[in-house]
Amino acid sequence: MTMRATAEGRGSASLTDPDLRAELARLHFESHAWAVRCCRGHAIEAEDVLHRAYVKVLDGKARFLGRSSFKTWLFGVIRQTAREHVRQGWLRLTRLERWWREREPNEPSYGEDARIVRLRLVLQRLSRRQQEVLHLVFYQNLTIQEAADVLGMPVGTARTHYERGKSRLRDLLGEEAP
Amino acid sequence: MSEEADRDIERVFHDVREADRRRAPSFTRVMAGRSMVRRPHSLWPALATSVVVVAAVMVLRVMPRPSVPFEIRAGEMRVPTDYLLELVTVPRAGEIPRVGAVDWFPLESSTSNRREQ
Repeated sequence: MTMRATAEGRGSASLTDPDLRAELARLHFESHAWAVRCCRGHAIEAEDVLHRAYVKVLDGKARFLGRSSFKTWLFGVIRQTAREHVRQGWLRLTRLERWWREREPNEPSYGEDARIVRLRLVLQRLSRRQQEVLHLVFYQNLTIQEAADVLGMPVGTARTHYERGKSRLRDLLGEEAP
Repeated sequence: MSEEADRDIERVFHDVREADRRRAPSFTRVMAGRSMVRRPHSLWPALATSVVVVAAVMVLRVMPRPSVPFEIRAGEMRVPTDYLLELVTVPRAGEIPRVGAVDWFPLESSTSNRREQ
């Protein structure tokens, strides 16, 4: 049974810690990708943000009330946590810490395909809102309405970012093509 | 959901997603809290110590320090009221000062007295 069905059928009060933990584990990959997007591509900050978001959910500081799907709600919590993270100045300070950590050889290096690297660079050239909406729709398979819910914006605004983002992305991919 | 015409964009995100799948940290690792686990290697203690040391040095530099030791011996120190007390004993003290009289002051000023001593 999915968490959406659980929430609609029984309400959030019946969600136990193992239920939440299982749902978080099931959505972990998608949550991590969204956290990286919210942290503008900084993987280390994203990991810290995701950890804080999980702690919020499991400690009950963020409560799922069943008004949307669990995934949409969780993405909203992650986005809010990332914003708090930035507001507290941690992002700037952890950049300094990251520089310190990178002196240690414990970051695994991945030899990434040059084409994927180019695609990432192309996506970064979109506006922040366009990146977020396209990420939620195409990467996370959410509807535009759900993306608007996560981003806390009207669906019309999300649709505008979606259409303009697609158009701009096609132009950029056309420029990149040999 | 995405329309048929958006297959090109879907393909881009699909490829990025597959690449991300190999890079994502495990759920267990994120739950444990990377920053907590690695705290012993943190930069903060060193950074905080340096800030404290720099602040202490700056405070010590800014604080005024007396260049010559200042000592007061009994009988050496004069105050303005000493001049007035001595004035009472001078015979010309009752005279009215005249305009232009440069020699009217019956006593040396306290500063000139100190220089002579």
